[in-house]
Amino acid sequence: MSFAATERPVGAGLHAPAPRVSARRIAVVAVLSIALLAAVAASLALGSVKVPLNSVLDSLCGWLTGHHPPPIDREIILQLRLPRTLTALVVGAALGVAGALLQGSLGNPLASPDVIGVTGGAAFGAMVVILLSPASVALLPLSALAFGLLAAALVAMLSWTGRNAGGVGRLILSGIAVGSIFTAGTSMLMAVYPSRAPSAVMWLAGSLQTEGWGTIRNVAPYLGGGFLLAIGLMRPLNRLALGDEVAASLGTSPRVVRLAAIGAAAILASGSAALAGLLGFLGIVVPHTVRLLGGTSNNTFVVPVSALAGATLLTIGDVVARTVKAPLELPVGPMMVAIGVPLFLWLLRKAV
Amino acid sequence: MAVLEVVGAQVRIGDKQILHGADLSVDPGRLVAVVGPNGAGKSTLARAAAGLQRLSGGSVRWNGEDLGRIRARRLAMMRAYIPQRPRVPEGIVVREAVLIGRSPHLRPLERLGLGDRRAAEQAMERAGVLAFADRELVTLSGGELQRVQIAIGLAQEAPVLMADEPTSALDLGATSAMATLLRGLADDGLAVVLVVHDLALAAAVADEVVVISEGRSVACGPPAEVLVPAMLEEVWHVAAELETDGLGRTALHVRWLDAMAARSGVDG
Amino acid sequence: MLLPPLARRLLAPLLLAVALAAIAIAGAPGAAHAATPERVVAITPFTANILAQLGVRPVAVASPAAGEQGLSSALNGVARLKLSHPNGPNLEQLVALRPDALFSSPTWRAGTPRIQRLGIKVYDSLDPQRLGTVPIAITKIASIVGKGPQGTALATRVQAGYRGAQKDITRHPRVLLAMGLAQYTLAILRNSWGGDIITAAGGNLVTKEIKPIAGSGQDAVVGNLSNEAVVRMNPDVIIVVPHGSPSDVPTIAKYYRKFAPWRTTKAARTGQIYVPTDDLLLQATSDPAALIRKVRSQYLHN
Repeated sequence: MSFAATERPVGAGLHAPAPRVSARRIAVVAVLSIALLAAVAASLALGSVKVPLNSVLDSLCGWLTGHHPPPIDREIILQLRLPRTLTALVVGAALGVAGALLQGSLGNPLASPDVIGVTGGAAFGAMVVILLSPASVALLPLSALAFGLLAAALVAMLSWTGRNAGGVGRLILSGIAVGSIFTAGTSMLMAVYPSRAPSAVMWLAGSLQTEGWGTIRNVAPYLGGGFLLAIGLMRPLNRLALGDEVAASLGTSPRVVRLAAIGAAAILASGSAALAGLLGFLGIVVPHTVRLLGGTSNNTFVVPVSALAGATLLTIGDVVARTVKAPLELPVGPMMVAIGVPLFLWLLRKAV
Repeated sequence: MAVLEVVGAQVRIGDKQILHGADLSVDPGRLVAVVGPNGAGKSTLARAAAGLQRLSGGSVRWNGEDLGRIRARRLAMMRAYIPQRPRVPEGIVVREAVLIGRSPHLRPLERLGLGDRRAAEQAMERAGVLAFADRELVTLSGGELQRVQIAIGLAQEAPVLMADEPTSALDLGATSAMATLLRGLADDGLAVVLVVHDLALAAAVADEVVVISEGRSVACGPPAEVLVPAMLEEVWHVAAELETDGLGRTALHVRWLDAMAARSGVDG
Repeated sequence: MLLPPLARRLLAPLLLAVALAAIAIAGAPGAAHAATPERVVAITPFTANILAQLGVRPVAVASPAAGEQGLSSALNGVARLKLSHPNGPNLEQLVALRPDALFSSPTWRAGTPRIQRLGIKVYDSLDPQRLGTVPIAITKIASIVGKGPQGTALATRVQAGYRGAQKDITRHPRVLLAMGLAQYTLAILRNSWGGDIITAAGGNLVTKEIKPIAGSGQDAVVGNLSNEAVVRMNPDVIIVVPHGSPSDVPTIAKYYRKFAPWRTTKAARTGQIYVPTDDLLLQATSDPAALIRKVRSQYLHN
């Protein structure tokens, strides 16, 4: 052990990990949490129409204080803003987590729900309703969800059969192929029904305009399942980060973890599409931003903090999207990009 | 009873038979070196023994129990396996990586406990990586990385440590440090399986060598008895001689420029 | 926007002068067919129907999309073209018809340059985007196809018709007019065909104060209106023009009548959410008077 004697500081502690690293992560979580709370407060207080702050509070806490705001204010807060805020939080978190799961499980920094075909599938599902079968408009969220999951299932089936089953390269290529089939379908429908395009464009640009509580109530169980899976996957993904061989020798099947991660990401991304259309940017940039902020790729940090950061960013983006040109709304996707990308690029410049 | 007993192991990958029948046996406190030419099936044998490669024939027993009956997580508490070319992820520090080695001891969602942290610190100290425990893996040298891999394996607290060519990319000093570490671990009571192509190194550290040639184990025993010139010529097709002194020094004397002559000798 | 009579009388000669100047610039080879086009294609319902009323039989018209307003029976037997986004007619089919002129609209403007390169004269701004421009459009179309006097008469008749349809309005309900589908409320804003019709029918457009995000043109007609604003504006009547075939409309109407964000509005509470089966409120019709009467009797009840 001569080498160790020279390199090891004598009496080095056998105790807790270095506090400096943790302090940075705690700071990131603290700042994001405060930002999230501020975003939620803004999302409830601000909107296309002005609702006095005490009406907002009375609407939310009327059952506690006994004050009753004007019914219209109450309707706006409880039936429109509250479900919308909740949708922003849930969708932002879901897409952040979906991206983190895919980047972690595929070991590819460009992985996002597009890569496993989910985005293309969900978009096609929405277009089938909006363009092909407008009478089924009530089924729009369900169709997006179902086709998103169908696309992911196709990708999984194509890449988990035959030789080299479950290989990352094959998975990504299958995903791109399946995604392009659905994207082609979408383009075809758009070309065939040009007069029906305006609503389709709204959906594709991503919007948090909701139908109230109905959709989120239907989609929440799926998203809940996706989040639970994600929690269970954080540590297995860390093992995968050390390579498939190490993961396998630690008793974790890389293929099972990868399949579960893709399944969870597919559920989260499809559910998000069902609620808010396409917001692809979140899935790819949020986990990277979290890694840069926290200075770590540890998935027990990246996965939950991506949820936090995604929820914060989407909520802020939505507040901006529905207030700048009130009472008209702008699509939330571009707003979010306008807020998120400069931050991301600044971090990137500092880090790389 | 041997802690690991491989008998007549066969492995097919695709249409190709890689292992035709290889044996391996390891006892606690012993270091077994698996040697052989490139492509002979050394790594495949180690992977098959570790349960990472499906057998097409033969048997692998851990503590007398058939490998097929052992669940992956329990197996991970019986042996640690250090692959030849592990992935080096960005944004992970040494301590985190070593803590990942505690996975087999944790139920899903169970938090890392004090015992886990202590085991990881001990593994890092034993592998000599404590000094850079807070550095990111991507900033480490080859030798440091290899020792981190050993630390991950030690954190598993398994009685058997298997390492596939841990020294193949290391310089002389790092190789010697690794040799000292592995020998020390065997002396501590671990059973160590070392896949290695450096015969001089194998002869210096191993209690026993297993020679694999064309998918078969062709010899097994103390290095000085197995790695004789006839064996070197038959398996490696070189005219060479292993020299050992009582001070733990080994040397391989090779007639480097005479390979063709040796080959024709064998063929004839 | 109404032109004073003098200007209207001067318009036809003025257009003629412009046309003559164009011929002079185009030179001798172009002169052969530039005077009065003989083979005309009309791809909007308005232009097609106006041509029919002027007694001009186009060589082809666009087959109406599902839910689009119908074509005059005088156009029965005329070849039908299918349009596709965003260029409009298929160029090969169009060329095969050997037309001299094409009546298009801003919707299909993307295809204009390519069609013009084929030597076909394209008129893509004669589909009225406002009620007030209907008479002007009629006069212009008429003078292009050499039916100037008939055009002036028709324009006067149509204008008198839609003015008459606005008489004796008793109530001015607050109206939200929207288009599209799904949870997005794509509201029709003030300076639009639909907005003009609703206003002419006595409706009080709830979106009249809203400034469009896009400054001008076709895109300034629609705005993605927040549902919060709809709740606060509390319209008496909501008219949604969805896309889809007429057979889809009952189901779509049911969706909107149960649309949760609108449930507190007077329109929802009094059962006054209407979903027309045609797109007359989105695209100019050659008979605005009939449309205004229909809106008054079926939607505004005034």
